[in-house]
Amino acid sequence: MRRYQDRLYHAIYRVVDNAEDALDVVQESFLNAYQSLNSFKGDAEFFTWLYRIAFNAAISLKRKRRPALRLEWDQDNRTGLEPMDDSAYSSPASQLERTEDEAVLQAALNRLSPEHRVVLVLKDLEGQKYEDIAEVLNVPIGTIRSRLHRARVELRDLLMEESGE
Amino acid sequence: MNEGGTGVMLPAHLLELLTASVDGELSAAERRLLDKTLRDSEEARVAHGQMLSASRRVRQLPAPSLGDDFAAHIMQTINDRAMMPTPLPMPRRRSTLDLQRLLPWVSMATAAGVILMVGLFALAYFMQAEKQIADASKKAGAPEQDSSPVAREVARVAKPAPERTQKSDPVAKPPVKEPEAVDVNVATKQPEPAEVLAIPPRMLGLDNVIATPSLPDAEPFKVVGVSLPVLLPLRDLDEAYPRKTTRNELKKNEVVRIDLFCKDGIKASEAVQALLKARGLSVTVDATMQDRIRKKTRSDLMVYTDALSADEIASLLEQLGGDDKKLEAKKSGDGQFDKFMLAPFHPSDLAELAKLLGIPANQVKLPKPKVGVPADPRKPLDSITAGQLALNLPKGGSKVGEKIALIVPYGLAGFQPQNSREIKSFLEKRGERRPNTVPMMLVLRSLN
Repeated sequence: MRRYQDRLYHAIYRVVDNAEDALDVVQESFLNAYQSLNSFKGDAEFFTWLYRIAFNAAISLKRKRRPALRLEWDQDNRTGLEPMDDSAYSSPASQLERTEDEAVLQAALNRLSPEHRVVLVLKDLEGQKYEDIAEVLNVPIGTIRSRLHRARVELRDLLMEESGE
Repeated sequence: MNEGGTGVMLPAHLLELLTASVDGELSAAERRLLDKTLRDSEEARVAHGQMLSASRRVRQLPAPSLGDDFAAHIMQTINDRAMMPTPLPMPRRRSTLDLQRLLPWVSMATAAGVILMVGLFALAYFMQAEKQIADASKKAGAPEQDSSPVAREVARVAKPAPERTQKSDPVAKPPVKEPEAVDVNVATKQPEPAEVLAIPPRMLGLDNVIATPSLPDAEPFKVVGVSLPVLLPLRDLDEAYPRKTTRNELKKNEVVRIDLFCKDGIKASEAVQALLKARGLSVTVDATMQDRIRKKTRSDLMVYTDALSADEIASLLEQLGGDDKKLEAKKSGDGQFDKFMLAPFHPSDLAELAKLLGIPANQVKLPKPKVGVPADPRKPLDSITAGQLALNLPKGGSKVGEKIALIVPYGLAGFQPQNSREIKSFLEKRGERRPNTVPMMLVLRSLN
């Protein structure tokens, strides 16, 4: 458990952007993994199996926290409703603890959809390959590639927007 | 087709190429295309740099830590909730009526049942038959009282053997027109009556089957001695067993064929000639063979003589082997002879001998059998014809007892013995065979 806890927590934290939520997700993931230990067939790495549990939980959490009125993406004019969850991003105290760069980047990540955020975290933060990400999220590799492409373009645009370019 | 409205305007496929590059998931071809795109397009270079920068910034995000007590907290939670790994659902039990699995067993059980039934029926049948036979045997003293086929047959078999098996007895050998079923074993073995009753024949239904006439008395089997080829080293003839074997084999045949393997037929023939001359034989060498000897042309040859007895032939071979052994002992490699094969004379050998001597096959006449000696049809044909050929070889008849030998090429293509004056001379010189002499066909075969 100690072997995986910090790495998993970091990844989940970047997805949910809330320390307590991340802690809850990781804790519940470990408990679920323990309870479902008999169903672990050993055909995948344990870490991959644990990640699958944790990221599914994180995505579910982020979907719950989204406001019901999700406006359509307005490429030309941001609606002002972003970010759409009540994560620590919106907490002034937490915001102060971060460096400016981290805050800008996390704000951009928070504006991505949970699916895009997750693939970006798994790719850049965890350095996993398409195949591994596909196995964690249980989706085809082509979907991972497509999601990553959209996530990168979107993140780049968001960062450019933040920097005023 | 552009994506990222606030960024550079690039075709979608180039943007995908750029993102795949940032992901580090490019193939070689895609890598080449990317390099070309980056060289050619300023917009692509800018977009690529922006994506790389964003990726790098994500990787450099600080990693928070959970602390050492997290694991303990999880374990405490597990204990508090009394959590246990959820057992997997039990696999579905296979139906007890799995026909696929049962099919082989059903087949085997059926087969075993059939075999058992057949065995039981057979046992019951034979027990019933034995019972009937035993009952009939008891009534054998009053044969007319029981007219069943079993009883009649037992009564007939129970009669004294001589009355049943005498050839002149019409009862034992009924006319062919009225065949009667007779147990061959009973008819031929002539057992004692008590023995017949002890082992009763199978007689049930004899009246209903097509009977066969009695078989004639079969002669008992005879043990026939089979002669097998003997292959022995010539130099070993100084030892008891090879010498004895050779002498016995030589005495068995009316015509002797010896295949003697040697290094060089020409040199070997010189040794054979020397020994023959030492035994008082005059050796005639065919002109073709003389020419080959003179030129020392490697060849096989045949030595033929009918002036030696079996013992003399054996002695000749023994001396030949002894001399060769001495030569070999003196200097390794000087020995000429290897092994010899002494095989029973075969009709094909006769044909070959006739061919080598240039005698047309139609001139080989079979002599009449000796008077007073009955012809034995069981005697192998070749053992007769061997002697007949030897006797029928053309003879001059001038000198009785003249000891001569002939050397001709063996297996030489184009050799025409009928044109050979030496062979003709040999045949003319041949007189009557001395008693106990055996025609010998000694083939010297060069190895390699």
